[in-house]
Amino acid sequence: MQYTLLLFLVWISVSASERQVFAQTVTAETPLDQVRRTNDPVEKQRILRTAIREDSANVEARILLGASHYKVGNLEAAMEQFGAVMALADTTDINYADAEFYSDEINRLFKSLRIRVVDRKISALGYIEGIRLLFRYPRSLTSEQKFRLEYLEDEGKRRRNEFQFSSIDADKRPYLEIPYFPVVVSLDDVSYSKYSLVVGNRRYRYDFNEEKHDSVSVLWDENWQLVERVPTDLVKIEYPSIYTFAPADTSAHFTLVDPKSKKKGTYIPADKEVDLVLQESTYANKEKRYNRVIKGLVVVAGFIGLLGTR
Amino acid sequence: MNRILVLYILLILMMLPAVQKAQGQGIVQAQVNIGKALYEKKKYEQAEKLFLRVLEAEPSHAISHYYLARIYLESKALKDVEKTKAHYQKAIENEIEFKGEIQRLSFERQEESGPASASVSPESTRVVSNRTPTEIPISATERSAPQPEADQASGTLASVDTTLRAPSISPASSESLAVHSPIPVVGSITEATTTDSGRAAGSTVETTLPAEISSPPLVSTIEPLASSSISETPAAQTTPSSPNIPETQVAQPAPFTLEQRTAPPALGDRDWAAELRQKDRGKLTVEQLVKLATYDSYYAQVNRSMDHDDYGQAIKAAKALSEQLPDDWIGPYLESYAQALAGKYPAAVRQANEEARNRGYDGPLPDADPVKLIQVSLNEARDNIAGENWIEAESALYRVRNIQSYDPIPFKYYVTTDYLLGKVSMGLRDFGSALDDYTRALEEYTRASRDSGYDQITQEQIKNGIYMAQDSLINTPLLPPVDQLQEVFAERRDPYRPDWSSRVGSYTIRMPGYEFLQPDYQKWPEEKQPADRAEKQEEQQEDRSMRGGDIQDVDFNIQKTLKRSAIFTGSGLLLLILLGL
Repeated sequence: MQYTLLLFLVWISVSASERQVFAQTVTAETPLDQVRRTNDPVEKQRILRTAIREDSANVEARILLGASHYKVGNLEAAMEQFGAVMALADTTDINYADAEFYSDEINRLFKSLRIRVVDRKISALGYIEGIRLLFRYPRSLTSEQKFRLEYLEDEGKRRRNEFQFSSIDADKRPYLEIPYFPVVVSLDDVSYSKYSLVVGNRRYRYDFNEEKHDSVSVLWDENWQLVERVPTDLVKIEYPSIYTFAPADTSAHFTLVDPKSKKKGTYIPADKEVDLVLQESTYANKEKRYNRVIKGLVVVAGFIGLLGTR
Repeated sequence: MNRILVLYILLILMMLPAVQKAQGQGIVQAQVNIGKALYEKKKYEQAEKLFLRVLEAEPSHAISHYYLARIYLESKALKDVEKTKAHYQKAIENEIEFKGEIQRLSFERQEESGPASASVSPESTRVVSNRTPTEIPISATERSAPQPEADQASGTLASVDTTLRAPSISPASSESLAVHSPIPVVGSITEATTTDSGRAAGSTVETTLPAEISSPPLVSTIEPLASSSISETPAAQTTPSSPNIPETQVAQPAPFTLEQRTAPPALGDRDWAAELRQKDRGKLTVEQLVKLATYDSYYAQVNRSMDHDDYGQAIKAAKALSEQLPDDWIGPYLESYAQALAGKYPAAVRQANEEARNRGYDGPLPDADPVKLIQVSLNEARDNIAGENWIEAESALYRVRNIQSYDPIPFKYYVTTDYLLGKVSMGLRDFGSALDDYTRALEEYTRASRDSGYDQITQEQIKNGIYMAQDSLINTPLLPPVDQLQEVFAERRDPYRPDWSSRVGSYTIRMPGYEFLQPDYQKWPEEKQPADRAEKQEEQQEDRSMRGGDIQDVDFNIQKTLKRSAIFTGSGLLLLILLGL
């Protein structure tokens, strides 16, 4: 009995010490360790997203996720993560420095490219379904820039809004804006170094370097389908096309007319308080007349009412 | 009972140091794991702090010494060769607990550079060396490290990634494990671990390696093997490199061309490196160890970058290797291939080639003649133009443009390129660019004829191209004014699903001059969003707010509203008069 008790005590002591060591090893595991164990980029991103969901201030996971997006050319998602890291981390944190480095690189190597359709009137902002574009660049790009181009050219990978009409230019033509388009840096001879964009069986050449960012003019492809969608930084106020509204202040806005639905759409900034003031009406004369009639009737009614009281 | 209690207390007192040690080891192990992860992420400062903390607890912790040495070697901010040497020395002094980790590192390095072997064989490989099989058990520390699933499941001693993929370079990766170890392999083989950028441990490997420290010649042959098992065979099958003969003479590659963008030819281990690996580790100086580690480290970086087609990074690593080992041709040799694989830097390839030759390399190197490279692309473009494959032809011509932008070439090649580009522009209905291309070709023709008697394309051909482009431009209908353009109608999908943004604002519609429509018209649309957004929309309407991506439909008719108001007011007035009468 005594020896049994002794053995029991010994067993308790040993097992307790083993558990402690085991627990310490497990708690040391970070998302980084988990990510290292997998080779599947999708799985890596899933692990990191889970880590961020559980702890939104996990800057290390955010950096890794941002870098992962950066590597595959999804720069919007990458910048979102780097921005979050710079907001969350202390400026002395190494993760902050990483995020800053990545952001600077992205801003250095990528610029927005505008593509405008010159032979059609666009009735509403939206994205083009079925668009296929092929880009050529005049000088070698960095690997990250190439990944970005691959991403943009891959219909399955890219986001729909990467080929979205986002606004109108000075000629009132809507344009597609491709954010983070690779820019060739340090060109020696610009005259020999033009980009080209192949759409279907047509080619368009344009300049796109540190000094000059052309807006590429393309023709509408009959295979394209315009699907309405308002860009996330705008709101569309839709009203009958017989009226014209404009913001009272100088808020950036523009209006597109859809003759099919007899409606006008005024696009205003989504994050402002906007007073839309009536500028014009097709039936302004009739409306004024009715307004005057009502005014007269009200005056007469008031007079009669006054007489009645006396 | 008291006797038992006393016995138990004595027992506890006896076990206490062991328990504390076990706990301490757990913490140390955790810190080392985190430190390694930080090191691999190149967060050298943080990794350094952790390893120094480990050394405070365990001054003889060899792995920490080893990693600190590497940190002081690889980190730009912390670079300190003296510290590197000191920590390597400490790591070696504590070699008994060090062997497993060193071998694991060697596996990691092999895994990083594994795909390089593709240039030798696209299949799985069998590493053949001249050892007698000796089964080695796995130590407790090795078991605690993360292991690939296949390894754990099979219960075999180790697993190694032998899945291969071109293109890459090969020497270190295709050799025995010791070749990759910064310090010659000691003792037993351990499990392979996967790195962040590496691939999964793909196949189980039956491993039998020697337990002794000193190693015979390490350069090994590689044979395709379906089962991908590592075994050992007599020394007769090995092909050790002679100190006086460049390793490339062992494997003579085909000349590099643009069409065959293959990996660099397989090399043996560098002669000096092989010699060092053959020596007893204990007899090596710290400088030799550092040199070997530098060679292995940058070599693995080049391999890994090429494996991921990241030639820019490969070039950087090769250049760094070239700087670190200024007397060895391996740096410029690798840089030359990295530049050539990038395919756009004949001048840089030539420079690297010259440097490799200056350092004593006399084997084959990538073709650095820009004219040859251009001719290959021009021929490809001509073939594609003949087959009306305009997009492929354009690709080939853009390759020529790339070469032109980096390397001065005879002017006559500009004429041909621009003439062919004109043809491609016509094929792709870019008539404006075609006219530019032909016009430029004509200008270049004049200069080329004057300088060197250009005879590939006649002036008539170029002029004909100009006329064709002009005709096409003239016949291209002009675009009508903006207000006369054909409409493109947008389809609105039902339900409308924008990418909702977090931007929130509000709007008010005002109609000045219409007093009887005051207060200013504010209309909030019917709920049009999906059901799950209904609640949020209600809240937004109360707040009179809108979100980015919204469409707010404001349906009204001022004339009708005023007319209705006039009739209503008139009726009221009439009723009032009648009542008054």
